[in-house]
Amino acid sequence: MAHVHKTEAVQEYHEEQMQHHSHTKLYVLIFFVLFAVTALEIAIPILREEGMLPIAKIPEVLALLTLMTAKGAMVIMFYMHLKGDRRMYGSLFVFPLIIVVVMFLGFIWLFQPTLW
Amino acid sequence: MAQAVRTETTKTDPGRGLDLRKLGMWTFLGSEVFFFGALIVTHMAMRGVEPLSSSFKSMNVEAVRELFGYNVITSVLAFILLMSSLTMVLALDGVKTNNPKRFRFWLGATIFCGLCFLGGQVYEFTHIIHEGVTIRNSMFGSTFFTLTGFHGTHVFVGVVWLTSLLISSLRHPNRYNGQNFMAVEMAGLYWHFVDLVWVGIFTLVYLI
Repeated sequence: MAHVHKTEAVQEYHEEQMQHHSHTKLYVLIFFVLFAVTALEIAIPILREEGMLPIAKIPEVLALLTLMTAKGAMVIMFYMHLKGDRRMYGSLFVFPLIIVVVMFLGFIWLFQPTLW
Repeated sequence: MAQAVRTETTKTDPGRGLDLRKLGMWTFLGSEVFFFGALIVTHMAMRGVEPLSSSFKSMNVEAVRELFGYNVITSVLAFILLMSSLTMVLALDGVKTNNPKRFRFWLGATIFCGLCFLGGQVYEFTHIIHEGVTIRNSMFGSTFFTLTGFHGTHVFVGVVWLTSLLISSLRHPNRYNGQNFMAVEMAGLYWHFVDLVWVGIFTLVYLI
Protein backbone atom coordinates (compact mmCIF):
# COMPACT_ATOMS: atom_id res chain seq x y z
CA MET A 1 0.00 0.00 0.00
CA ALA A 2 2.75 2.36 1.01
CA HIS A 3 4.68 1.31 -2.07
CA VAL A 4 1.68 2.21 -4.29
CA HIS A 5 1.48 5.63 -2.64
CA LYS A 6 5.16 6.23 -3.23
CA THR A 7 4.95 5.15 -6.85
CA GLU A 8 2.03 7.51 -7.45
CA ALA A 9 3.90 10.35 -5.80
CA VAL A 10 7.01 9.67 -7.89
CA GLN A 11 4.88 9.62 -11.06
CA GLU A 12 3.17 12.87 -10.04
CA TYR A 13 6.51 14.60 -9.54
CA HIS A 14 7.87 13.23 -12.81
CA GLU A 15 4.84 14.67 -14.59
CA GLU A 16 5.34 17.99 -12.83
CA GLN A 17 8.96 18.00 -13.89
CA MET A 18 8.05 17.18 -17.48
CA GLN A 19 5.55 20.03 -17.44
CA HIS A 20 8.06 22.61 -16.23
CA HIS A 21 9.36 24.64 -19.10
CA SER A 22 11.84 27.44 -18.75
CA HIS A 23 10.21 30.87 -18.47
CA THR A 24 13.36 32.86 -19.07
CA LYS A 25 11.87 35.00 -21.85
CA LEU A 26 8.91 36.00 -19.70
CA TYR A 27 11.14 36.87 -16.73
CA VAL A 28 13.44 38.99 -18.87
CA LEU A 29 10.46 40.73 -20.46
CA ILE A 30 9.03 41.52 -17.00
CA PHE A 31 12.43 42.87 -15.96
CA PHE A 32 12.51 45.28 -18.90
CA VAL A 33 9.00 46.45 -18.12
CA LEU A 34 10.01 47.00 -14.47
CA PHE A 35 13.14 48.81 -15.65
CA ALA A 36 11.09 51.11 -17.90
CA VAL A 37 8.52 51.85 -15.19
CA THR A 38 11.31 52.67 -12.70
CA ALA A 39 12.95 54.99 -15.24
CA LEU A 40 9.58 56.72 -15.70
CA GLU A 41 9.20 57.03 -11.93
CA ILE A 42 12.59 58.69 -11.64
CA ALA A 43 11.90 60.97 -14.61
CA ILE A 44 8.54 62.34 -13.41
CA PRO A 45 9.80 64.38 -10.38
CA ILE A 46 12.89 65.54 -12.29
CA LEU A 47 10.87 66.75 -15.29
CA ARG A 48 8.39 68.44 -12.97
CA GLU A 49 11.11 70.25 -11.04
CA GLU A 50 12.77 71.35 -14.27
CA GLY A 51 9.43 72.73 -15.49
CA MET A 52 9.19 70.33 -18.42
CA LEU A 53 6.16 68.52 -17.00
CA PRO A 54 3.54 71.09 -16.00
CA ILE A 55 1.47 69.05 -13.52
CA ALA A 56 0.40 69.79 -9.94
CA LYS A 57 1.78 67.93 -6.96
CA ILE A 58 -1.26 65.72 -6.37
CA PRO A 59 -1.37 64.27 -9.92
CA GLU A 60 2.38 63.66 -9.64
CA VAL A 61 1.93 61.75 -6.38
CA LEU A 62 -0.97 59.76 -7.85
CA ALA A 63 1.08 58.87 -10.93
CA LEU A 64 4.01 57.73 -8.78
CA LEU A 65 1.73 55.66 -6.52
CA THR A 66 0.11 54.03 -9.58
CA LEU A 67 3.50 53.14 -11.06
CA MET A 68 4.68 51.79 -7.69
CA THR A 69 1.56 49.61 -7.41
CA ALA A 70 2.03 48.31 -10.95
CA LYS A 71 5.65 47.41 -10.22
CA GLY A 72 4.77 45.69 -6.95
CA ALA A 73 1.96 43.73 -8.60
CA MET A 74 4.28 42.52 -11.36
CA VAL A 75 6.92 41.35 -8.86
CA ILE A 76 4.28 39.51 -6.80
CA MET A 77 2.47 37.94 -9.75
CA PHE A 78 5.40 36.88 -11.91
CA TYR A 79 8.55 36.71 -9.79
CA MET A 80 6.86 35.44 -6.62
CA HIS A 81 4.64 33.23 -8.80
CA LEU A 82 1.42 34.24 -7.07
CA LYS A 83 -0.27 34.24 -10.47
CA GLY A 84 -1.45 30.69 -10.86
CA ASP A 85 -0.56 29.70 -7.28
CA ARG A 86 -3.02 28.88 -4.50
CA ARG A 87 -5.28 31.75 -3.44
CA MET A 88 -4.56 31.11 0.23
CA TYR A 89 -0.97 32.36 -0.19
CA GLY A 90 -2.19 35.55 -1.82
CA SER A 91 -4.78 36.16 0.89
CA LEU A 92 -2.11 35.88 3.59
CA PHE A 93 -0.16 38.60 1.84
CA VAL A 94 -2.85 40.90 0.51
CA PHE A 95 -4.88 41.16 3.74
CA PRO A 96 -2.00 42.81 5.71
CA LEU A 97 -1.33 45.00 2.69
CA ILE A 98 -4.90 46.36 2.75
CA ILE A 99 -4.63 47.10 6.49
CA VAL A 100 -1.33 48.90 5.93
CA VAL A 101 -2.86 51.07 3.17
CA VAL A 102 -5.78 52.02 5.46
CA MET A 103 -3.32 52.76 8.29
CA PHE A 104 -1.21 54.84 5.89
CA LEU A 105 -4.14 56.97 4.77
CA GLY A 106 -5.34 57.44 8.36
CA PHE A 107 -1.94 58.48 9.69
CA ILE A 108 -1.27 60.87 6.82
CA TRP A 109 -4.71 62.43 7.31
CA LEU A 110 -4.07 62.78 11.05
CA PHE A 111 -0.48 64.00 11.09
CA GLN A 112 0.38 65.40 7.69
CA PRO A 113 -2.79 66.73 6.05
CA THR A 114 -0.82 69.38 4.17
CA LEU A 115 2.31 67.33 3.55
CA TRP A 116 1.67 67.00 -0.17
CA MET B 1 15.34 10.41 -4.95
CA ALA B 2 12.52 8.45 -3.31
CA GLN B 3 13.60 10.13 -0.08
CA ALA B 4 13.29 13.55 -1.69
CA VAL B 5 9.85 12.72 -3.08
CA ARG B 6 8.64 11.45 0.27
CA THR B 7 9.91 14.63 1.93
CA GLU B 8 8.02 16.76 -0.59
CA THR B 9 4.72 14.90 -0.18
CA THR B 10 4.61 14.43 3.59
CA LYS B 11 5.01 18.15 4.26
CA THR B 12 1.80 19.07 2.47
CA ASP B 13 -1.50 19.67 4.19
CA PRO B 14 -3.84 16.88 3.06
CA GLY B 15 -6.89 19.05 3.74
CA ARG B 16 -6.15 21.77 1.22
CA GLY B 17 -3.20 20.45 -0.69
CA LEU B 18 -1.08 23.38 0.44
CA ASP B 19 2.62 23.06 1.03
CA LEU B 20 3.05 23.93 4.70
CA ARG B 21 6.53 25.40 4.21
CA LYS B 22 5.20 27.73 1.56
CA LEU B 23 2.20 28.56 3.72
CA GLY B 24 4.56 29.35 6.59
CA MET B 25 6.70 31.57 4.38
CA TRP B 26 3.72 33.53 3.06
CA THR B 27 2.44 33.97 6.64
CA PHE B 28 5.87 35.26 7.63
CA LEU B 29 5.91 37.64 4.66
CA GLY B 30 2.43 38.83 5.65
CA SER B 31 3.78 39.70 9.10
CA GLU B 32 6.69 41.48 7.43
CA VAL B 33 4.17 43.59 5.50
CA PHE B 34 2.87 44.83 8.86
CA PHE B 35 6.41 45.46 10.09
CA PHE B 36 7.58 47.49 7.11
CA GLY B 37 4.15 49.07 6.70
CA ALA B 38 4.41 50.46 10.23
CA LEU B 39 7.92 51.79 9.60
CA ILE B 40 6.96 53.41 6.27
CA VAL B 41 3.81 54.96 7.72
CA THR B 42 5.76 56.31 10.69
CA HIS B 43 8.34 57.86 8.38
CA MET B 44 5.76 59.40 6.09
CA ALA B 45 3.74 60.79 8.97
CA MET B 46 6.66 62.05 11.06
CA ARG B 47 9.37 63.13 8.63
CA GLY B 48 8.18 66.73 8.45
CA VAL B 49 7.20 67.08 12.11
CA GLU B 50 8.79 70.03 13.89
CA PRO B 51 11.02 68.94 16.77
CA LEU B 52 10.13 69.92 20.34
CA SER B 53 13.74 70.30 21.42
CA SER B 54 15.86 73.04 19.87
CA SER B 55 18.79 70.63 19.66
CA PHE B 56 16.82 68.65 17.08
CA LYS B 57 17.12 69.46 13.41
CA SER B 58 13.95 70.54 11.61
CA MET B 59 13.41 69.04 8.15
CA ASN B 60 10.52 69.76 5.85
CA VAL B 61 9.81 67.99 2.58
CA GLU B 62 11.75 70.57 0.52
CA ALA B 63 14.82 70.04 2.71
CA VAL B 64 14.48 66.29 2.25
CA ARG B 65 14.32 66.69 -1.54
CA GLU B 66 17.39 68.91 -1.44
CA LEU B 67 19.19 66.29 0.63
CA PHE B 68 18.46 63.48 -1.82
CA GLY B 69 18.97 65.62 -4.92
CA TYR B 70 18.08 63.64 -8.03
CA ASN B 71 18.40 60.33 -6.17
CA VAL B 72 21.28 59.09 -8.32
CA ILE B 73 22.55 56.60 -5.74
CA THR B 74 19.12 55.33 -4.76
CA SER B 75 18.06 55.01 -8.41
CA VAL B 76 21.10 52.83 -9.04
CA LEU B 77 20.23 50.81 -5.92
CA ALA B 78 16.67 50.36 -7.21
CA PHE B 79 17.98 49.04 -10.53
CA ILE B 80 20.41 46.71 -8.72
CA LEU B 81 17.60 45.19 -6.64
CA LEU B 82 15.38 44.82 -9.71
CA MET B 83 18.24 43.07 -11.46
CA SER B 84 18.71 40.80 -8.44
CA SER B 85 15.04 39.80 -8.60
CA LEU B 86 15.56 38.75 -12.21
CA THR B 87 18.71 36.77 -11.37
CA MET B 88 16.93 35.08 -8.44
CA VAL B 89 13.98 33.96 -10.53
CA LEU B 90 16.41 32.71 -13.20
CA ALA B 91 18.25 30.72 -10.50
CA LEU B 92 14.96 29.10 -9.47
CA ASP B 93 14.17 28.43 -13.12
CA GLY B 94 17.60 26.79 -13.44
CA VAL B 95 17.03 24.44 -10.52
CA LYS B 96 13.50 23.57 -11.70
CA THR B 97 14.81 22.63 -15.15
CA ASN B 98 17.59 20.50 -13.62
CA ASN B 99 20.37 22.83 -14.73
CA PRO B 100 22.70 23.13 -11.71
CA LYS B 101 25.29 25.28 -13.51
CA ARG B 102 22.66 27.84 -14.47
CA PHE B 103 21.24 27.73 -10.95
CA ARG B 104 24.61 28.42 -9.31
CA PHE B 105 25.56 31.14 -11.78
CA TRP B 106 22.37 33.13 -11.26
CA LEU B 107 22.41 32.53 -7.50
CA GLY B 108 25.96 33.91 -7.41
CA ALA B 109 24.80 36.89 -9.48
CA THR B 110 21.98 37.53 -6.98
CA ILE B 111 24.44 37.47 -4.08
CA PHE B 112 26.69 39.89 -5.96
CA CYS B 113 23.76 42.26 -6.57
CA GLY B 114 22.84 42.06 -2.87
CA LEU B 115 26.39 42.94 -1.84
CA CYS B 116 26.43 45.86 -4.32
CA PHE B 117 23.18 47.12 -2.82
CA LEU B 118 24.57 46.94 0.70
CA GLY B 119 27.71 48.79 -0.39
CA GLY B 120 25.57 51.49 -2.02
CA GLN B 121 23.47 51.84 1.09
CA VAL B 122 26.53 52.28 3.29
CA TYR B 123 27.75 54.99 0.88
CA GLU B 124 24.35 56.70 0.98
CA PHE B 125 24.19 56.60 4.78
CA THR B 126 27.68 58.10 4.98
CA HIS B 127 26.63 60.90 2.61
CA ILE B 128 23.47 61.70 4.58
CA ILE B 129 25.29 61.67 7.93
CA HIS B 130 27.95 63.92 6.38
CA GLU B 131 25.11 66.34 5.48
CA GLY B 132 24.30 66.55 9.20
CA VAL B 133 21.29 64.24 9.45
CA THR B 134 21.71 61.44 11.98
CA ILE B 135 19.40 58.93 13.63
CA ARG B 136 19.33 61.10 16.77
CA ASN B 137 18.98 64.71 15.65
CA SER B 138 15.68 64.79 13.73
CA MET B 139 12.40 62.98 13.30
CA PHE B 140 13.33 62.58 9.66
CA GLY B 141 16.68 61.00 10.52
CA SER B 142 15.25 58.70 13.22
CA THR B 143 12.49 57.29 11.03
CA PHE B 144 14.58 57.25 7.83
CA PHE B 145 17.54 55.37 9.28
CA THR B 146 15.28 52.94 11.17
CA LEU B 147 13.31 52.11 8.01
CA THR B 148 16.18 51.85 5.55
CA GLY B 149 18.43 50.26 8.18
CA PHE B 150 15.94 47.46 8.79
CA HIS B 151 15.58 46.99 5.04
CA GLY B 152 19.36 46.79 4.69
CA THR B 153 19.42 44.22 7.50
CA HIS B 154 16.88 42.15 5.58
CA VAL B 155 19.08 42.36 2.47
CA PHE B 156 22.04 41.21 4.57
CA VAL B 157 20.04 38.25 5.93
CA GLY B 158 19.02 37.42 2.36
CA VAL B 159 22.64 37.49 1.18
CA VAL B 160 23.64 35.13 4.03
CA TRP B 161 20.72 32.81 3.19
CA LEU B 162 21.55 32.71 -0.52
CA THR B 163 25.25 32.20 0.21
CA SER B 164 24.41 29.22 2.42
CA LEU B 165 22.30 27.80 -0.43
CA LEU B 166 25.16 28.29 -2.88
CA ILE B 167 27.68 26.62 -0.55
CA SER B 168 25.25 23.79 0.10
CA SER B 169 24.71 23.22 -3.63
CA LEU B 170 28.47 23.25 -4.25
CA ARG B 171 29.12 20.72 -1.48
CA HIS B 172 26.20 18.50 -2.49
CA PRO B 173 25.75 18.97 -6.26
CA ASN B 174 22.58 16.85 -6.45
CA ARG B 175 20.80 18.32 -3.46
CA TYR B 176 18.64 20.81 -5.39
CA ASN B 177 16.96 19.64 -8.56
CA GLY B 178 13.67 19.55 -10.43
CA GLN B 179 12.13 17.40 -7.67
CA ASN B 180 13.60 19.16 -4.66
CA PHE B 181 13.61 22.93 -5.11
CA MET B 182 11.46 24.17 -2.23
CA ALA B 183 14.46 25.50 -0.26
CA VAL B 184 15.42 27.64 -3.26
CA GLU B 185 11.82 28.77 -3.76
CA MET B 186 11.60 29.84 -0.07
CA ALA B 187 14.79 31.88 -0.35
CA GLY B 188 13.50 33.34 -3.61
CA LEU B 189 10.21 34.43 -2.03
CA TYR B 190 12.12 36.16 0.75
CA TRP B 191 14.45 37.87 -1.71
CA HIS B 192 11.61 39.10 -3.93
CA PHE B 193 9.85 40.43 -0.86
CA VAL B 194 12.96 42.44 0.04
CA ASP B 195 12.90 43.85 -3.51
CA LEU B 196 9.19 44.57 -3.16
CA VAL B 197 9.80 46.56 0.03
CA TRP B 198 12.41 48.62 -1.80
CA VAL B 199 9.89 49.32 -4.58
CA GLY B 200 7.71 50.92 -1.87
CA ILE B 201 10.52 52.69 -0.02
CA PHE B 202 11.99 54.10 -3.23
CA THR B 203 8.74 55.73 -4.31
CA LEU B 204 7.36 56.79 -0.93
CA VAL B 205 10.56 57.93 0.76
CA TYR B 206 12.73 59.17 -2.09
CA LEU B 207 10.44 60.26 -4.89
CA ILE B 208 7.31 61.64 -3.22
